[in-house]
Amino acid sequence: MKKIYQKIIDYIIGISVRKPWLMLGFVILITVPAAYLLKDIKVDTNLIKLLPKHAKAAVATRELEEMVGDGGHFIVLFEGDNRESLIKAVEYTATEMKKIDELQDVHYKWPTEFLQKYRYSLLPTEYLDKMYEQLIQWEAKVNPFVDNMLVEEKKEMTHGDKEDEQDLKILIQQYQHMTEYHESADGKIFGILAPTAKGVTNIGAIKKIKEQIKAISDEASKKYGVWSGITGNHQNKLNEYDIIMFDLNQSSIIAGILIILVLLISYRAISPIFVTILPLIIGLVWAFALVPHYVGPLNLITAFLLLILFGMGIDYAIHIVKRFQLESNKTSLEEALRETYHSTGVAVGLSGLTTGISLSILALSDFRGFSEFGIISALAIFMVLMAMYLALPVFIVLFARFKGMHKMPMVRKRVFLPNKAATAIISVFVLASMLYAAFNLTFDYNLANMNFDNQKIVNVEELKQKQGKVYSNSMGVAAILLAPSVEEVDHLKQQLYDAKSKDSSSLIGRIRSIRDYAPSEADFEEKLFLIEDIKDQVSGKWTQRIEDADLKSMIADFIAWEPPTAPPTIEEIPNIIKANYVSRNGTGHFLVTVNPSEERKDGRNAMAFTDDLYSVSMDKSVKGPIGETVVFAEVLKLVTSESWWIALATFAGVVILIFLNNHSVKRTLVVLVPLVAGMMLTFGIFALAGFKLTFFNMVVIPALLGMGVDGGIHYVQRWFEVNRDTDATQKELFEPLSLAIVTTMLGYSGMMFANHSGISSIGNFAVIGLGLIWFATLVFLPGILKMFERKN
Amino acid sequence: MEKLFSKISTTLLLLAVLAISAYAADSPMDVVKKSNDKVSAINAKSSKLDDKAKKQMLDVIGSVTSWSEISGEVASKLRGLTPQQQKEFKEKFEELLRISSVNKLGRYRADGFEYVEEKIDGDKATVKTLALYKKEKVELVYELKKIAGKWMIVNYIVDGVDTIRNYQKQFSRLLKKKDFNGIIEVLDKNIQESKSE
Repeated sequence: MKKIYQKIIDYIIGISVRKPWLMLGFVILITVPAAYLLKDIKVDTNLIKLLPKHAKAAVATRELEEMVGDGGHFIVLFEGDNRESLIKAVEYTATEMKKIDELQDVHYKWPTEFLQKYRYSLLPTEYLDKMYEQLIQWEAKVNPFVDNMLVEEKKEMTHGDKEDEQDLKILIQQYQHMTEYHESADGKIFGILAPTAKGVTNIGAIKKIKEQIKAISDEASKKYGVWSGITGNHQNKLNEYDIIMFDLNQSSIIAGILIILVLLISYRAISPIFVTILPLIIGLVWAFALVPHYVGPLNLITAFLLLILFGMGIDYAIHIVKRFQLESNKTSLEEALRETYHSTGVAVGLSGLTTGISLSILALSDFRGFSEFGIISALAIFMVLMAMYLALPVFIVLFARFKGMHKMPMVRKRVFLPNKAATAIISVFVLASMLYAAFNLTFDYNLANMNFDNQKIVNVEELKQKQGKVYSNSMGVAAILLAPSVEEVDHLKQQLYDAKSKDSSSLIGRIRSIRDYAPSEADFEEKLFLIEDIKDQVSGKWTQRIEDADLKSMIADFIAWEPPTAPPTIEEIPNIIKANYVSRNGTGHFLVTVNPSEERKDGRNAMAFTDDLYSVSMDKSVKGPIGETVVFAEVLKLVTSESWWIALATFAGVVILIFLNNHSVKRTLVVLVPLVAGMMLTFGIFALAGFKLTFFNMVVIPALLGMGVDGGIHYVQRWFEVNRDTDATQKELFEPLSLAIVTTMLGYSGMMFANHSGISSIGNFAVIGLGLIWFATLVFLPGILKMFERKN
Repeated sequence: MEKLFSKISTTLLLLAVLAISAYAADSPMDVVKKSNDKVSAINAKSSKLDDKAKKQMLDVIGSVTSWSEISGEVASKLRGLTPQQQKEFKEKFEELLRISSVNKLGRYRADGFEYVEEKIDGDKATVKTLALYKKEKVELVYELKKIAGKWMIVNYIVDGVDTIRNYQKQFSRLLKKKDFNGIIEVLDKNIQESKSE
């Protein structure tokens, strides 16, 4: 094996030395088409891209997205003091927007006639129920002889209760103060709501629609002298995408500058930096050219891989270039190259293969945040290694010929080696760290802690506030089910209510459907009874004691309002309402939306809620559930169930590879010392610093296992080569290993400053981990080896 | 002998007159007035009721209020209960009314009462009063029923809020959410809370 390797590498070195331009031409020939393919790389930040294609939520989403759409919409806002100008701007913009094919509808007027007619009868039955119950309790308060039996035992309001309360308040306000246009209470802000025709996940397509809308609204704004702005959940997606791109650029700049600075300090010259970086870039281009075809769009986690791999891959070039600089002191260019590749080239290949194979174990994971990270990392490492053998020799030759490769004199430096006591203290720290982590390192399930800092987007808060004055701030839908008929809707709702009432711990909360607007005769009758009860209740003398003006006016309005005698038919329901509950592609399916009774951004609630939904026995004709909470829950379930076995499998892979190389248990264990100690310290320090594991940074654990083993492999191999002379090994390897680890750290460092807290948590974890693995490799391991040395 | 007979007759007549006059004095208004006076007197002794005062209060209110009638009225409107459940509910609720009434009267102390009117319709009567709380006047209507020849309070209506009706609405709501055992649990919990007050 060794001989084959030497034959091939000698052949490459031979051509590189004798016909460097030919070799360079060959490298360029492969690289140019690869670079062209990079244009196909896309980033898709949708959480569903983290799920395997066979995941329940992923299958359902694919099947139903045409029917359900993604609830995506744009909102155009106009603000000004002149009502007439605002109306003209709205009318003009709406007329023009209707010409955009990708928009399903353009809503700017409320269906006042419908809402006036049906008003409070459009409130869901459970809201009417709650209103009535609240009124009974208020009434009870007036009479000191009455105890309030309806108050549950000091139970706090659930998140769902609060959402319902807010929703009810907004609905009542809407029904009470109905305006023709979508406008704020003071009439100074007007809005247009435009849902898109089908689920648009392509960020480019969303951008295109937005640009068309913006051109129209800008024109209207200029024409009628009013302010305009665009918001809505499609705009939020664009904002998120922009932040990710900003983070990516910022991280790249920070990491790039720091890596070049460190290389500059190490090489004390500019040209070796080019020799180091160029083959790495070539290797990464080769690898990423294959990504769109074999992997698909990059996801939230893999979007930052290029950066990480740059930091990781640069190690190989550093080791080879440094070794070449040393060897070129002693011999000719070709001989120095041969010596470098026969020795360091093997260690680089071995450590690269170890890292690559370890990371490829991640491909076994169902969680695409892991599997695609593993596939792309392994692919990139193998390609970078290829570039190290194919492209680096020719760059070294060419730069050496043009006097760009400086020889590095053998400098004997004083190096630090810990004594026995220091090593023992470090061992205690390692164990203490592990124990501390075991009890204190926790998983953060809260999605809100893994999101974007919106402040980076100009005007985002201002727009949000203005939108809130016209439209109720959308509370979003956690899960959607589809039923083929209204009868099935009724049956499904009953099944959901039954499941909810049977299990007191069920997190199934608010259930909504077209039936809230077009109820059956029996349900409408029940509503009418409730409305009568409420009317009777608010007609009592006690209501004179109410001081709240809004409530008083609502009560007066309720008493004065005459409920309709029959419910509206589905056909009667205006599109702006119906669109939320009827399939978008005309299959005639009806949507039933379900929200949890507790905060769904807390992953534990999302998982429990999804389990509750999955456990409801529904008719076969019912499709779903789909929705962002279901996807989030499945992502979390995958991460929490797979992380540890993937980490163990990666570790097992690392152990096997090291053992295969060393054929000795003892030697394998020694190689593993810095990795294991470094990981233990990492967990401890991470917990001590108050950081938590998240579904983003969990990927760092197997990545650290793959990356962290390199130092141990190099160090132990060299230690044996120099007859177990720890001082000599330390003197030789301290700088290149430090440089290798520091550059990898720097690759991650840019992510620490990301606005997306999930991404920055990857940066934090990796930088802390690599720093501690550096410490374990170059301080703790030498201490241990020194003890072996003395014993032997 | 005649003298003795005459003495006895006179004594009996006197007793009868006294009895009749005593009976006649306990009109619905008097029942309410006397009990209010007694309650006020107990409350005036201390700002917080001790066990002895609570006992006195319970005796006063208990002697003029028919808890059984109130709880029976509430129970009668609860749909879906078996006769046995109605009986159990009635007993529990009566216990709660008895215990919590003392706390309520200890807590909500009126500064005085204005007795507005008394209406008697057969064996039913209402007494309309105005309870004075600082500067506020709250209408408090007592509904009374003649039980075993004595006027007993069977409902309190404060500012239009009917005690029996509100309780009926509350328990009807509870019955929609809980089963009978759940209702009994709510009652037990409230009884315990009232006892520990």
